[in-house]
Formats: sequence, C-alpha cells, structure tokens
Amino acid sequence: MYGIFMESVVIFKNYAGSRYIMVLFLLALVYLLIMEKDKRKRALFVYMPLSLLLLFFFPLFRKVFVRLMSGSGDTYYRVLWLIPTGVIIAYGSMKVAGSLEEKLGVWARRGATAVMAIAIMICGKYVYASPYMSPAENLYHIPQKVIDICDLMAPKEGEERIWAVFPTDLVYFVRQYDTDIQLLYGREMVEPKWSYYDPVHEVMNHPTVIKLEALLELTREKHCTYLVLPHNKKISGNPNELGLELLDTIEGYPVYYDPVAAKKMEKAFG
Amino acid sequence: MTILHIPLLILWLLLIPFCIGLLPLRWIPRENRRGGVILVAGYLILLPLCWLVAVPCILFVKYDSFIPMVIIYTVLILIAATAGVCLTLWFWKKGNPILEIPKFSISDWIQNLSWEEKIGWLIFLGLVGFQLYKAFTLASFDGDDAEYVAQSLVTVESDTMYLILPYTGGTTSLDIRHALAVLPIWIAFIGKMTGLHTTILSHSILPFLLLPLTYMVYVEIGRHLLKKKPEQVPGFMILIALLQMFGNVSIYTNETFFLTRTWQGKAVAANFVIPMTILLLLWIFDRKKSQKNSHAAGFWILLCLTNMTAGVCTSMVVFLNVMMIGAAAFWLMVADRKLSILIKAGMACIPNAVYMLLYLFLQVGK
Repeated sequence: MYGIFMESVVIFKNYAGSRYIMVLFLLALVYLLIMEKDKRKRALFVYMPLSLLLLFFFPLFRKVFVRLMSGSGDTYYRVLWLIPTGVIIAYGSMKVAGSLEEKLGVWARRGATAVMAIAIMICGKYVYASPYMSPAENLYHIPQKVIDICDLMAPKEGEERIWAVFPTDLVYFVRQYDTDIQLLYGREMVEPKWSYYDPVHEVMNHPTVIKLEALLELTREKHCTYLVLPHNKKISGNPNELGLELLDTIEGYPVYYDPVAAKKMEKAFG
Repeated sequence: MTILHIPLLILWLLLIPFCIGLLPLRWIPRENRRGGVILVAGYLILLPLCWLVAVPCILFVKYDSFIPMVIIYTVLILIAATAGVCLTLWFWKKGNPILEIPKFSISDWIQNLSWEEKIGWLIFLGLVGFQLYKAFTLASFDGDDAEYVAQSLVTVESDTMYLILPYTGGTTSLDIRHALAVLPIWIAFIGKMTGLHTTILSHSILPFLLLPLTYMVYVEIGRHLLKKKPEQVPGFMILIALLQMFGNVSIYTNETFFLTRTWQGKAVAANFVIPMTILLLLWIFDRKKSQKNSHAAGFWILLCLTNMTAGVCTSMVVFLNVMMIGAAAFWLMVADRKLSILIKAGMACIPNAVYMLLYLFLQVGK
C-alpha cells in the first residue's frame, strides 16, 4: 500500500512540475478555508477539492481506478483535472483583492490583482515556449515536407490505395493528410512505451544504417510500392541496382517507387 | 480552405448550435439567459445527439456506417434547430418571450462600465485574441493526433467508423475503447458538411470555437462567484486567461491540454465539460432560497447533458465526472443538511451509469 501511495506522490509531482502554480493553489485553498463564509462555496471550492486530493493519494482508490481503466495507470493524473485549480486561484485572489479594497481602498484591489497576475506568470510556465510548439507551415499544422512527399505518391481519384513506408519521425503526420496512403507501420511502433514489434520498423529504426536489401525483402512481400528513407542514415545497397526508382528527394528524404512490388501486386490481385 | 467555407462554418458551428441552444431556455432562469449560455447549451445538446446517432450506427451498421449517421444526424439537428426557433417565436407571440432582446445597445453597455472594467475586459479579450492567434500560427506536436485527427479523416474518406486503424489504414475489429467517444466523428461530420479537410478543421478552425466556448463557461463562473462585486469579474477572467497561458507546468495539466491539444476529446472534457459541471453545480446549489424552485429544471437537464457530453469526449471523464459530482453533492448535502441533494445528483449521473455499463458490456462481449 505504501508503494502505491508513493507512486501517487510521484504522479502528483510530475503533474505539478517544477514550478510553483501548486503553491499558489494551496495558498488560495487555505485562504478560502479560513475566509470563505458561504457554506456552499466552501463545499465546492474547499471541501470538494480537498476530498478529491485525498482520494487521489488513497492507495485503494488508485487500485480500483487502474482496474477500471483496463489495467493502465498511465492516465491516473487525470483525476487531478477534477480539482478546479484555476478557479480556486482566481477566486481566492479576487477575495484577497476585495478584502484589501475594504481596508485600503480601490487601488489596493487593483494592485493586488496586478501582483497576482505577475505571480502567475512567474510561478507558471509559458505554454508557447514549449518545445512541442513550432511555427505552422500550413493550415494542416503538419510539416510541409510530409505534404510534399504525400502529394508525390498519393493515388489519383479512382485508383487503389497504396502502401508506403516512412521514417519514424514522419509516420505521425502522413495519415492526418491523406488516408489513401497506408503505412506498413504507424505510430503504434514508434512509441517506445508500447514496445510492439514489426520487422520493417526494426530495419528502418536502425540507429545508423538502413539495410536496403533486407528492407525490400519485407516491403515487397507486403506489396508496399513506395519507400521514403531517412535523411540522416547511411543506406547499404544501391537503390537503382535493387530495382527502385527515385521519384524525388524532399528536404533530404529520398522518395522511391518500387516497380518490382507493383508488378508483384498486379500478379497477385490482377 | 476557401472563403466559401466561412459561411458554412458559421452555419454549422455557430448558427445551428445557437438555435438548438434556444430549446432548454424556457427552463433556465431569466438572469442566466445570455448569448454565451445559449451557445454552450446548444453544444450540450448537439454533441450528445451525435453520440445517440453515431453509436448505434457504429455498433449495428458497420461498413459505410458514416453515411446513415450523417443523414440521421443532419435531420435531427435541423429539426432541433427549427424547434428551438419555433419555440422562441411561439413564446414571443404568446407575450411571454423566453429570450429578451436587450433594450440597451452594446455602446450603452460599454458606456455603463467603469474605465477600470473597460480596461479589464480589453486586456482579457486581448489575451484571448492572442491565444487564438497563437492557435492559428503555431503548430503543436502531439502523438495522439495520429489517432484522433486521422480518425476523423479516415471516417470522411472511407465512410466507415472505427473499423480502420488510423495509424496504418489496416482493418481491425471494432475499437470499443475509442468508439464510444465520438468527438472525432462529430469533427468528421462538420468536415463532411463544410467540405473542409478535417485536419485543417481540427488544427486551424476548432480552436476558434473551443477556446471561446471554454471562456464563456468561465465568465459565467466568474459572474456567479463575484455577483456582489461585478467590477472584479474582468480581473478574475484575466487571471483565468493567464493561468491557461502559464499553466504548462507539465505536459499533464488541463491548461496544457487546453492550448496544445484543443481539438482532442480529452482536452474538451478537461476544459469544457469539467468547468461546465462546476458552473452547473454552482447554479443549481448556490442559489437563494427564493430562487430555488424557479426554473432549476433547466440546470438539471443541462447537468445530465454535460454528463453525456463527457461520454462524447472520452470514456474516462464519464467516470471522473461522477466522482466530482458525488464529492460535491456529499459536501453540499452536509452544508445544507439535505439528503435529497445526493439523490438528485445521483439521478443526474444516470447517463454516466448507462455509458459505463455499455462500455463494460461491449468490452466483455468483444
């Protein structure tokens, strides 16, 4: 039980991050606990969050939650979404500002609101500085190179869907743009936490070299007619000699058509 | 995307939801009948309706299931929107209008505000405008988009729901875990009706709806909490907007989800459904005794619909919302010494119980 409790502590720490927004929240919560006289508001903004917080750390609850969520505890942090952190901080701040106004006048309230706004900026972390954010290259908000590569291989109206293989850094985006392009492996192989296995991914995911012959053996078996190779790895084997046609190189990614796989598919399906 | 898409987007994302939102207005107290509340109410009907149509189609039609879903859902929402307008006109003709056209103009309203409030609202609107600008000009990478965003596109392009793996395009047995959370299907529906690529819709357009919708809920929370000091509402909203922008203390917070994964069901659940539940708990329970019996039915209906909307977004929040409503009802029961609060709150969670039973039934029968 202690181990489960400590797991919850770690999840809470990860959720709260290294910043001090949670400190602001706790201060606001304590202030409301002492100063909020309305019993219904106390119930909603003091007792309810506190009881949910206690529940979060309660090992038996975590056990039940994990069982209900089909054995996955990865999403346990979402219990913390139920605590109205933002409303409690903002409401607590307004209560402090309001009481200052009664004692010191209207400028004290204005000053307190401004101080609180600055405190939030200092204690928090600016979302637009996140490493996951980048300038949008188009309205799809996916890398333009993916769009250019997909346009190069996409089947025309009325044609059959195609199979393709993409480097791991691009697989997330391909089917957000065009679902007529089917992938031999997708995001499910790329996420290390899921530890699935796919032989094509194993060849493509080699840290330094792509063994083209081994790759083509696998892709031709699966009638995969297009290959996009990584731009930052060595290729062992000559693509031309192995029967590949280079369509284009887009931002360093060579895009190949495989006529051998196309013929194989035609033979199999007519 | 062309200029022609804009009127269609306004029609399907604003006008129709607004007309549908007129439906429960009769049962909502007059002081709460505001434009934002009507739009929010519209979505609380529109999204559960999508669930009620999509899930039977997913379970019983299988291949090409999106086609009947689109037909039935279109008919139903057009009926609901027409009913909303007709009901409003009917009450208006009877001399008991459910929606009063404000006697004063926006310029009067602005003039009635103190300069402090004017500056406050301007700063808040500036912050929201900045967030919308960033939502449009910045792309945020999230691996889950390979599932959710691709799911909408697969649905539109294959006319089939949850039988094709969004990651690869291979076929699969029905994906129960995701199939009951039909928000990607609603996005696919809007994509189909507007002719807009669903990835553009999710990444570039929906933030312009979902961000303001969330702030409308927070404005109502602020108005309620600061009823006696309305001059503090702009300050409250500025802090809320700043907390969203500076709440990225980890990748797990609801604030991070709000601005980086706005279009995903879990983000909508965390930032629209949960605050809406809190607002409704405030509206239902934190009222004066004299107000208690006047038009509270509308709030209970909206609470049930909010619970159903949770199911549209993500299965987990269906369960979490029950926890929150249960905890709130328990403490409100203690505060008011009324067992009936717990019983009524339990009844509002019946949709959640039905959803969870269906989920378990489908999981076991898989």
